[in-house]
Amino acid sequence: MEVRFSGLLLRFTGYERTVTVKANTVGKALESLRQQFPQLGPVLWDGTGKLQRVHRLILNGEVISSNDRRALRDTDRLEFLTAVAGG
Amino acid sequence: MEAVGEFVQQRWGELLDEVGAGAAERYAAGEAFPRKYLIQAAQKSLHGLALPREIGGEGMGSNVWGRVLEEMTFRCDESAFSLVVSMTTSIAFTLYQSGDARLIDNYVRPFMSGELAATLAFTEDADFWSWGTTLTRDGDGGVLSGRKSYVTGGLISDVFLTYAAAEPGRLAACLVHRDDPGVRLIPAEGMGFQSAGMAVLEFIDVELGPERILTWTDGLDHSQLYLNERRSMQASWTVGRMRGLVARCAARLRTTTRQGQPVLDYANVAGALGRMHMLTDVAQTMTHDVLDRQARGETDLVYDAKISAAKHFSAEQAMNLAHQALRALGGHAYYGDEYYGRYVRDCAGLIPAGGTQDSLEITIGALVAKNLL
Repeated sequence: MEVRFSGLLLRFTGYERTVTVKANTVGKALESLRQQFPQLGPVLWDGTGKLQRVHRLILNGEVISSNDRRALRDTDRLEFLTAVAGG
Repeated sequence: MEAVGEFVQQRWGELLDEVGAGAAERYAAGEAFPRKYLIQAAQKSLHGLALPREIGGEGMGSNVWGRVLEEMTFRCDESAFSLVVSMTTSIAFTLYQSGDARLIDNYVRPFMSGELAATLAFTEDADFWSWGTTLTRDGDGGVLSGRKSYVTGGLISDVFLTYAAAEPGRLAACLVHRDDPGVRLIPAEGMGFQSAGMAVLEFIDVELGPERILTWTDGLDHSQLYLNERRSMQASWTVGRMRGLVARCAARLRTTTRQGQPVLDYANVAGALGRMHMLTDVAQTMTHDVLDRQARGETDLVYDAKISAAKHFSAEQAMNLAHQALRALGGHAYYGDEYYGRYVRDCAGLIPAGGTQDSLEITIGALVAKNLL
């Protein structure tokens, strides 16, 4: 499946906007990303291992939880949208 | 707003008049307004207005507080006063929401009594991940080093809610006291807010105990929870300032004649005043709407597009109003009344503050593009 990054996450993927991961669940896709881009981990997950609230996870255009259990297909597309602003 | 206006006038009117009396002179001299006014305001229950009764507040909620902030800004010529008060109240709200009794006793209650004033230490001339301010683990606590380049009310605050780079990819949040060894405050030179006690804040190996560290790992979320709420307060302040400008402009135009005619008989001048009123009215409506949504729990707590839109619109229109005023008032606004110069310099700061206008547009655009708004 395809995973798309934008905004401030790009520097943690080496500015790769689209990557392909082999995963049949959201959890496995996120784990695969963690292994592929170790520096992305602390940015995506909070101290308890949950996805930080500033990130929205979007599966085929639908906002989902990082605990979403549905089975994924190769044609699915996962995106991150990070909504932050300065002070 | 009439009821809020009467409430503000009744409880704080005298104080606002006193604070406002020396505003122009302080601004010209680059002096912060006296700290004693923060204490007097707190003693008149300003800081605890929105906080719950069980901790000594008045339980009026942030929607009332936002309207009070707007009204104070409208009524007081020292516009830095309400801005600095609102920094403490926003931090009080954030610490209260943590539910940590120790933070409530040690900080929120002293904020309400006026014993302590707080502000945010966030801004550096860099993105989050390139910050030079770092918090390094040292036993149970940490050591803070670095520099925050522009801290609102820094010179007259006691506590700084500070965000720093921690482990790679993580931000930490901590509370720093002005009298902590290694803390250094330097007056900051900016375009506006000359009486707001703006400061550069330096940390030279500041040792912080574990009780001062709010989070080692989740400072990004923590900061956005704070800043999202803060944006509606910025919009409230801005609307108050816009109302002040329109009122002052209208008062001047009512007594001005050109070519033997009242200047308001010229259609273009009356039209300018009408535009200014409408823009202010729309900004106020947007801001009140998000304040009410926040009170009803209908906003996204981390990033709410409607709150961002209210901040964005009010900041843009505040500057637009200055342009309109210069056109309608002619030379008077430029050299005849220093109020307009203060207004322009301060309101220019609303463009970068609270999330730059462009960054807000980009995020809202991305949400629209993904069909999330």
